[in-house]
Amino acid sequence: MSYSIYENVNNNTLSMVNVFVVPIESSTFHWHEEYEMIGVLKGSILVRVQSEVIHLHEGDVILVNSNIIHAIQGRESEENLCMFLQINPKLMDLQEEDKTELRFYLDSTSDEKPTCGYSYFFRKMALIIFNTMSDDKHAVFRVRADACGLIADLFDYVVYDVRFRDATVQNNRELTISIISYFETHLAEEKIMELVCHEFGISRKTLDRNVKMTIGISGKEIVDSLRLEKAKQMLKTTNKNMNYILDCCGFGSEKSFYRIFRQETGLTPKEFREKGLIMHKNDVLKGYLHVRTTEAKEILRKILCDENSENKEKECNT
Amino acid sequence: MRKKQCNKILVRDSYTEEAKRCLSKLNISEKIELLSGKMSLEEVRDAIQNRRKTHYNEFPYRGGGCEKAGIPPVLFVDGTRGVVCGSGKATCFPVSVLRGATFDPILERKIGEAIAEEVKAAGGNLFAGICVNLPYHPGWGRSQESYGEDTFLLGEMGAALTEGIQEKGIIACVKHFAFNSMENARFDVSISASKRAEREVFLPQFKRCIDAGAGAVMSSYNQYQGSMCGQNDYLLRKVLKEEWKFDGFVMTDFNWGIKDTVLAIHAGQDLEMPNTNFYGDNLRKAFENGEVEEKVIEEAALRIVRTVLSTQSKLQDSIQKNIQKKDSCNYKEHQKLALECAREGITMVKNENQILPLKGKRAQGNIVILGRLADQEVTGDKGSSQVYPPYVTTILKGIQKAATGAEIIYYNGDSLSHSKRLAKEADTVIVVVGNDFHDEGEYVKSDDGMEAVMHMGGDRQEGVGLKERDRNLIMEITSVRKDAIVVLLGGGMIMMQEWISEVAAVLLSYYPGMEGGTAIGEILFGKVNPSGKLPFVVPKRETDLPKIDWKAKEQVYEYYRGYTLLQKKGVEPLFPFGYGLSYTTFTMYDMKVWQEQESIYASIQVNNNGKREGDEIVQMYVGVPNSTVERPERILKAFQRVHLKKGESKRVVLSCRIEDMGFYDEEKGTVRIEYTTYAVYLGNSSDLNDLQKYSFLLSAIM
Repeated sequence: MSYSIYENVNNNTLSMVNVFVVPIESSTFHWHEEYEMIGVLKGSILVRVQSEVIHLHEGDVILVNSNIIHAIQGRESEENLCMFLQINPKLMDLQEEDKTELRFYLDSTSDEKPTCGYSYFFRKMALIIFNTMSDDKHAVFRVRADACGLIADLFDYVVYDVRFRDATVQNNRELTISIISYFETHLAEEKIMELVCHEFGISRKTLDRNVKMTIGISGKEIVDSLRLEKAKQMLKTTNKNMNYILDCCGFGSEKSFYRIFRQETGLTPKEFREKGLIMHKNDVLKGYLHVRTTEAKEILRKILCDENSENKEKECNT
Repeated sequence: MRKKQCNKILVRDSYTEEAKRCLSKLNISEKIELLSGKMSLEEVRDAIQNRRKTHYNEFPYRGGGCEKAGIPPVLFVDGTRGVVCGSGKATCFPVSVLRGATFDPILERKIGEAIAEEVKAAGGNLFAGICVNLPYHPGWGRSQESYGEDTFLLGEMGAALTEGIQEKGIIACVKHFAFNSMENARFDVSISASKRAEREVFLPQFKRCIDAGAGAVMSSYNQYQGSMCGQNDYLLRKVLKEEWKFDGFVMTDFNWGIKDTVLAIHAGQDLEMPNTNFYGDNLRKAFENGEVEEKVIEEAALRIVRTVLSTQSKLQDSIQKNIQKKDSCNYKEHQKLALECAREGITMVKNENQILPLKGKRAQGNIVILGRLADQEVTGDKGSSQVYPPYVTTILKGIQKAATGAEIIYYNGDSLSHSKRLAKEADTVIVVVGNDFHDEGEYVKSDDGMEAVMHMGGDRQEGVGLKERDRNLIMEITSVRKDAIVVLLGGGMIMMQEWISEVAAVLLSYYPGMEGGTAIGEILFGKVNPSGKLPFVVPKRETDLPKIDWKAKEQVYEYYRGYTLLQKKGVEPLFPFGYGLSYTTFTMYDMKVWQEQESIYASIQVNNNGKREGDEIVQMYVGVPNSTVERPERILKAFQRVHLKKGESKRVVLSCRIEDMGFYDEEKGTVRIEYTTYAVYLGNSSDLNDLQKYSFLLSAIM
């Protein structure tokens, strides 16, 4: 099992768009170049974007910007189903060498409402995904066209800003990525922070400033989150005892293992394991589970056919 | 200066005989052909209204000319901020109002030379871009095309541009003669003014350009005292040609500049441009009817031909020289000149706690830029002065170039809550607001109900403050922090009273040309020290400005306007005329005043006691406290830009000719000089607190 938190979205290079529907169990902090739109079709999820925690319910939609660190968690109490639309920044005419980044503010739980309403985007996502489920072998072109239409809508109706980073800032980001990779392979080390500083020849202060500036959370928070995720995986997929796991994950003491675990999951490690949450998901990357397409199709069809819903009214025509 | 003026008359006059020889080969019809433009009405009008593939004046517009007699045509090139002809080539300089803020006629002359080179490259021989109309009210839509609100400043800058252009053999055409300071009403309004207002305020800058040798004058659309300026005998014949001894030619403003053949030709209108409507056949008929004598036509033709011939020889000379030097039009150099000009003209009026230049965390952290104009190519209006440069460096690009190690975040400012959120988290907030071609500029008349399409430009009839959108943005940001930096764009004065106390710094960037963004970036980050000075007063209240009815059929231009009106009312301005801050500090001391021959001289020691080099504009104002007539308390009579290194000190000497300190005696119809006490002021703005005063008794020269 890879713990890499950098998610390399496997794009269809022709469409530059990747779509899927999955129930979310959990995904650790990660980021990718692609813009990611998430729409909740069923149940509810928690999305952590940088240091903010956002609770999304059925009908909610959120856009996670390119290279923004985020994590998604399902709620244990209920099943969920989410639709994902990932767009390559190249489709927005952004070239890597420009070092230009567009950041959209689309989150149906915030006050920053797009001029056409949120449900417009929810429906649009549903439509794009529904189309990909057909047997049409040319669907790829339709998806690309629809995604371009969606991008135009983002520009027209959603608040967005433009960020420019010069070489220094760019280097900072690359440094952060290297630091995180180092963390991933040295989680067992209790004095991981000292080691990483030594490895990169920087002070703890510089490290924290750099990491905070590039992804918005502290080095410690990253390590805690990585350790927790590794512990969860081990609890779920192995029979190793608690001491072994807490050593592997570098928690140092049982006390801090329990404290951090409880803080994040609301359960003790033991409860977590006992609750029968252990499922074999080795075939699925980071908790995105493929659900039977028929169920998804049914929900999508309902959304699209819902003529008298408010969606229709809010839909905006240019 | 005086000597040069004598020369120019001789130069042009020496072509009189040759011009007469050319004309002697022509019959009356052929002579009449010389007096009008050769374009079709549709061609020009459609281009103005964007209904053609080629833009307005994409190529020089031809007037007159006769190949068989060896008379070259007038090849008209429009502009004020550069050469209108062509696409993707011409240099877009900062607009004239910014150039006024440089108080640098030497630079303006260089710009003139550069423009002349580009006129030549475009195949033209006349540049109609010397606009010296004084904005009676700063809401005038085309204030951007003129050098500010002061008669003397307008004259000096206009003369410098004229000299630069004609130095290279191109005819300088001064416009719009006269009283053309209302845009939307320009075809209908009749202006009136007292004789003193006319001769002391609204005309002297034209005379200054004529004295500098201008070869052509364009009449305006509006009326003066009930008579169209294009066929106004008093303005064209009596004042311009007789009193001022103007020996060049007069042309109409385009298409709608005259309405009566016989009136126009008798009034001294020499060339109808850019098409033939009231001249041509109509003029021939008037001649055949005996309404117009041949000598009147002859005189107009002689003026045009003489000017074109004198220019032609100079052009040939210059082309010869260029071939020898292998020097063609150097656009790259001109772009540098545009940048230099923007650096000198951008004016800093507020800089609390020395927030500028940006340094430390403010320069290297998160810099949030708000306002859609930051990301647009804002070079001025889209009327007849629109230039089509190869590129424009926006403010956003300019800041990116100047910043190192910073993360720059740009947002258009549409959502106030998002703007506020960004502002809260930023290390530095720069708000870019103001006007663009939608808000002010030339108003293009639509003659077929295309009002919706053409709705742009014109006067700022709704007031001269920021738009509501911009004010709201500033207020929203200032609700979370008081250290925002405001960059203003706009071709005229913008009211600031409402929000000025809430922000830390304000830069006026006017319309700073194709390299304007670069200059703004350099100034914000301290690579360039700002040195522009306001070419207009910024009052606290709009009611401190002259009253104007933008839709009027009749409008009086009063004697007092701008800073003279505030002085008269005893009203404190927000920022005085001539005011502008620097990153260094200058002190002035040891003022001396003396009389020598026909001039008053004043000198002062200027010291740079700040931490870096910079430019200061030393200004001389003169008042006549015991005058027999009412006069402004003090008006600008001389200025000098001086460059000082850190710690350096220089003595600056300014002078003003005695005849330029007189008043116009309405009864006698002449300028009268008073031998009495003069108050001479030197300093770095028109405000008393920034000036040193010296009372001086002027004595008559024996």
